[in-house]
Amino acid sequence: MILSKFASAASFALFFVLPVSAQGLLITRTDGNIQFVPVFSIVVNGKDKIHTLGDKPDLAGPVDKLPSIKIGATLIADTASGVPVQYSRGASLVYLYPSGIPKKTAPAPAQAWKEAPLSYKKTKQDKAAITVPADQFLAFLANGTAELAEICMDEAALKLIGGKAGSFAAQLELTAAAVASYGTQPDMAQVERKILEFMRTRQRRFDDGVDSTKSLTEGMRFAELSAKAYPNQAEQQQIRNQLAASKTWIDKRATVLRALAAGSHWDSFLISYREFEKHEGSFPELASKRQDALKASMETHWKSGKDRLGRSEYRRAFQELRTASQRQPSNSLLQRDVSIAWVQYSREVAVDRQNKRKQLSAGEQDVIEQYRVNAQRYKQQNKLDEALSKIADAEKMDAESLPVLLTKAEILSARNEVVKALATLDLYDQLAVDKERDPGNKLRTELVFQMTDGIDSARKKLAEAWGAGRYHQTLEMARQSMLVDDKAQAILYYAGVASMATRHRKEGLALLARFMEGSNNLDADVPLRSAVARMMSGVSVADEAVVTEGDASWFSGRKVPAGIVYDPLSLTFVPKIDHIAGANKMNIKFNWEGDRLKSIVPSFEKAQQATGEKTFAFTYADGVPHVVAVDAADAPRKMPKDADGMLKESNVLLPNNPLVDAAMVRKLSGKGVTVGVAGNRFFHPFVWERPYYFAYTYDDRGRLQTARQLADKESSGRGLVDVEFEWNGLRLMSVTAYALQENGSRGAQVYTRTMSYVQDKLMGEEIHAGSKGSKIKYVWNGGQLASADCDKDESMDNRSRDVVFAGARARGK
Amino acid sequence: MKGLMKFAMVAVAAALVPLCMAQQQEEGKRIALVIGNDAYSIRPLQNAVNDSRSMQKALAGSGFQVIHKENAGKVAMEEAVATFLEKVGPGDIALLYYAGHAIQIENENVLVPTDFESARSLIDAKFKSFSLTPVFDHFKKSRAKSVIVIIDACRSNPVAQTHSLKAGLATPLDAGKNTYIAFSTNPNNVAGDNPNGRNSWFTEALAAIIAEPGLTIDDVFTRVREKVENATAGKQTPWSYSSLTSKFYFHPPLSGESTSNETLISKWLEDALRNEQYGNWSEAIELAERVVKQKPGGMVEETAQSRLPYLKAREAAQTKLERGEYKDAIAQFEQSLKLEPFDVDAAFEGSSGALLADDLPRAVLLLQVVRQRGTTPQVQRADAILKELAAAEPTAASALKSGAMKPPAVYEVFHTHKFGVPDWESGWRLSRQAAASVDYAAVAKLLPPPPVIAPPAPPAAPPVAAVVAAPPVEVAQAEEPRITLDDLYVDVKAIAGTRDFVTEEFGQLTIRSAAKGMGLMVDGKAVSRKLPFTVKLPPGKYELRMIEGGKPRGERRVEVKSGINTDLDLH
Repeated sequence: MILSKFASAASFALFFVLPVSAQGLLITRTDGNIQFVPVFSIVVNGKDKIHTLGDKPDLAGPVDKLPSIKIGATLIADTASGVPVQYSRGASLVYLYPSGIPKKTAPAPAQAWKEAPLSYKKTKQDKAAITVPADQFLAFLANGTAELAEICMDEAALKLIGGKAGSFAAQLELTAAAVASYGTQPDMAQVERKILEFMRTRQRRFDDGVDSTKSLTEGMRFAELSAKAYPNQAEQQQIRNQLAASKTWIDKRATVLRALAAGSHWDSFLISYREFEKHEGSFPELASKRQDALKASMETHWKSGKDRLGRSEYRRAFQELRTASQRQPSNSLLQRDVSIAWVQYSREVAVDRQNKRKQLSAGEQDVIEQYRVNAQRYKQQNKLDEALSKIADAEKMDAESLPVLLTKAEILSARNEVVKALATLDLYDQLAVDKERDPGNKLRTELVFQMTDGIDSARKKLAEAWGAGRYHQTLEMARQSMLVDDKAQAILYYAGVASMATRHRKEGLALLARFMEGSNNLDADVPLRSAVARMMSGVSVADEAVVTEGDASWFSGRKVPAGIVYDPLSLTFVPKIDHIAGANKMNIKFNWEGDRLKSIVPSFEKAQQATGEKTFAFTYADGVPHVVAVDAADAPRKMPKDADGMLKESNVLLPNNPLVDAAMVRKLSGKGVTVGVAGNRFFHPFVWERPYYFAYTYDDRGRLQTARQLADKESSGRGLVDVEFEWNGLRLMSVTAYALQENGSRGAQVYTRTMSYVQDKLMGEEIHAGSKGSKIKYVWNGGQLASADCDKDESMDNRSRDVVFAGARARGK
Repeated sequence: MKGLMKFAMVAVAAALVPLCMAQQQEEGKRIALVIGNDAYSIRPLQNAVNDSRSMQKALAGSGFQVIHKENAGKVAMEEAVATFLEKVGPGDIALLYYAGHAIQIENENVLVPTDFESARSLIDAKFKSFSLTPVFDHFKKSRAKSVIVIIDACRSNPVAQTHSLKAGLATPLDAGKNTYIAFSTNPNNVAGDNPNGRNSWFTEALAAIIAEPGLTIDDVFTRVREKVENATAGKQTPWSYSSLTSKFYFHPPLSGESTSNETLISKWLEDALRNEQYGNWSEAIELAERVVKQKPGGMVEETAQSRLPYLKAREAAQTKLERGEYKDAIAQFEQSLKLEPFDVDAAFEGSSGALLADDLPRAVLLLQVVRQRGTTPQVQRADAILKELAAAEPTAASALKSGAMKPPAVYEVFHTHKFGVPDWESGWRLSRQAAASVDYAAVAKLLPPPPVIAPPAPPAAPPVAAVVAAPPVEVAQAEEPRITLDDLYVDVKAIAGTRDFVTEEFGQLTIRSAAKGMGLMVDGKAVSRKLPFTVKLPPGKYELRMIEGGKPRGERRVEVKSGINTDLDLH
């Protein structure tokens, strides 16, 4: 029945010649193999038109009432529903229904496609069309192999093709076939880059502990594809090796952990778990064993400590009990035993040392006492530095004098340096016997109260400052709090993250390592620990690699190699523009002061010709290499002197800002803080309407990856955009903008600009926005960019422009 | 012989007197109150009075002026305590010893006088008893240098029969400074009265150990604890609390700690071995080195000397492990295993280090050592680890597939210090599952070469369990005699590497002595109490140690030759 209908439909086939020329590519799957067929034309049910169903694969009304469109755009099979869609990246899906089916017998869409399949001709000269059974059709790509490369990396399209098998299976299958068939074609070069990028991303996600197992599995599958498609490409080989090494490592480490758990080697388990911890999300059974390990380790050391206390082995008892208490600091019974062991141990040490006390003459004792009394007087006058200085003098004569140590602890307490005061008391305890111990015990009790009381309020203040982005203030407060308690987890955490955020990376890593060590216990905030473990991964003490040759970009201050015209950090145009002469008597003047652009000032021959372009003022700050603010104003901003104030006042923040490590903040808090500016929505280098602000993200090579437009007063009513940048090395290859939907997701593609290079020189740019196109042509004079000519551009203000660069004018253009 | 020893002890005691006196001069008076209560109308006791007598004697011997009361009623107790407290002055050492019933009421420890009959309520019981609280209060005021309170009284008591009370005594909450408190068992637990003995387990041990010179009070109670735990199979653990700030000796070291005093050096060695047992490697090394430095000669020096390489290897292994230097740690654990092939703990720790170093093959080899030489639970633990490792390490899988390891040769079992590993267990395991191909060569590399003497050929069919289960010595007595550590006895031990129980050849050793009541032990096992002793032993060199009251009194060496009787007279 179905066969006869199919035959009947096919017999009515008429062919529609594609207006976009014979560049289309048909993708089918037969017996599990993907085939690519370049086609001249396609029709459905012999028609060049097709009905649209809307965004659902359902037939909601009579067929003859359905709207129709001409076939010509890209079609993709929605494998799950069996109904193809007209596909445009970022746009809503439009499900299709074959035309020419009688309304009375119109079946459901999936059945209709089985009965009225798609046919194609390879060339104009082909007399007969070839029919593609519905279950073999995967896609028709209107733009041929160029689009094939995009589809291979397009999650939404792959999801449609993959159906129940999922997008990744489709990606693997399609990409492998595409590379096998078109691997040597220029259009497919981006596939090679994207496979590499895909593997890199998965490796990075694994390194960061994000969905470790899933990331690694996906990475390994692409490594398999990479090995098949690019067996000798060094960069691909390197990342494949990394992935393979990661797989070996994680498998081995998981095995070792399971073995250690099976053997009840709990302390070793905890040691081995440190490096593994960031991956624990993928291994819930090992995460659970970690809790078991902590508990078992705590109980073992506690018992051992108590046994040793019973055997009067006070030193070892103290060590064991302290280890046990580190596993569960909140256990008050355990803490009590630690205190008992400490008292016994320190008393034992003190008794042993009693006979070894330094023998001082009466005169020496008098001098020491004088120093001590003076120190006390200074303390009473709140001259604490002087007080400590006197104590230091006394210590030079006898470092183990009990009255001196006690006074020192009191002074340190007055300075709120509780940690040092307690350390002094620890020494005191190990020297004092009998009644000498009483004042030490009393002061210890006071200090512990001071510590507990101080830390509770500090924790709240730190959280507030960090949340408000006052990173420098957070760091300063945390440093102060650490004088009171250098083991409190909250303090160590904020001290660590604030250090990292303010580019004190070495200090930050050390503090976070202490946080991880100190919070490796049953009381720990497990998600926070996992987050810290992930954020620490892949971060080295050294800052990111920077280009050391070339001239500094006037905007970012970062050095850019010769020949690179788009600054990878800010996307501003590196060659200095002198002025831009636009149509309708518009002149844009760039005012430079040395290497710094101070302002961009538009002018028009007649006032009535003015079209609303703003004057741009650029603000710089001492110690910050990049422009810190760009405003529609006549004069730059006045920047505060303090770091947090300066950050707050800036409206531009690039990754090389010395006051904040933006990449680290993003890693630490998930909050993107890099903000950039452009003169228009699409980063056209020669259109300066008003400042448009964007939230930037960067790839792992420090290149601008995306720019999401930030809403401001003037953007209301006009759609925001999300812009994506493609790079080859440090050369910008394309700019693609998508409409930004209200829910924050990307909508339809609204703009592309593609760069063309000849021998590493940017020669032109081609702009597509909707159905309109435009071009920019560059003129080079020797190694210098002399001028640029911009066609009328409807995506902007529809003006043509002549751009003159600073160096060129000097040569008399 | 025993007469000679008594003479020697008297001589030593006489020599100690001036020293004790000198000590007392330094410390002030030593005053003790000793009370022993048996004659209760409800639940009378058998040993408390005996205990008090033993303690009275022991304390008097250590320079205490003792006030001794037996079967004291409440008034008598109050009078005795008052007399005692009146005598205690600043700088004195005050000791209160009590044996009898005692109870805790509302966390307060009270002693039960013999005239206590019944109580209507806990309040009534409290007032009819004798509370320790005011005694402690008085001690605080007395400015005594040290206060020692010893209560052997945590036995099942008469008050508990009628009133619901917590078992045992309470933890002292506010005993004051410079105080040492010892209970015969831990808080809230009940002690045994030793119904078949003359003294309680606790006091029996205490009275004996007090007499040893050179022991601090902590040493004394550590030893008492060990003895009582051993005697009661771990059911009773004496408990002590100390806030002393100086060392207290019942009998001070004979002439400071630098002397070559045999007892002191033996004590160091014992302490070294005890520390080894608890894994306190650095302390064990320090003590063993102290022994060697004193050059005492004989078994003491030889033992200390021979332990040092092993102790140092274990200490180094532990240190390296803690520092994260896993490869070095593994090497040290393997060295420890070479020196002590049955140190299964070292094999386990080494395997853990190997896992941390990601050296899985090494971990498997060390676990194979465990499987060959460990007890069944240890082998099961090793198997559990191997099972997990099998996922990533082929040798782990093949080890498991090979089944049980071939047991170690019997001569190896008896070759080392860590003696007594139940080798029969590995034999039993093997008998249940024939060993398949195992890389013995690799495992053997971790272990020392066999002893110099060649082991005789094993029996045709390897009835391992039978061989090992065969009695190591042939003795005349069928029934094992009882010899306590306090008795006089001769302990015969093979000198390392010279004995082989697999041999079918035997020699005979006859030991004669005039000492009455002397016992014979072979390898720590009581063999005979009837002199002269005659035992069949495999040929080899043996050491005989004469021990009295737990202390060595002399040693001899003898060689037993095949088919020959060696006669040894200990006169």
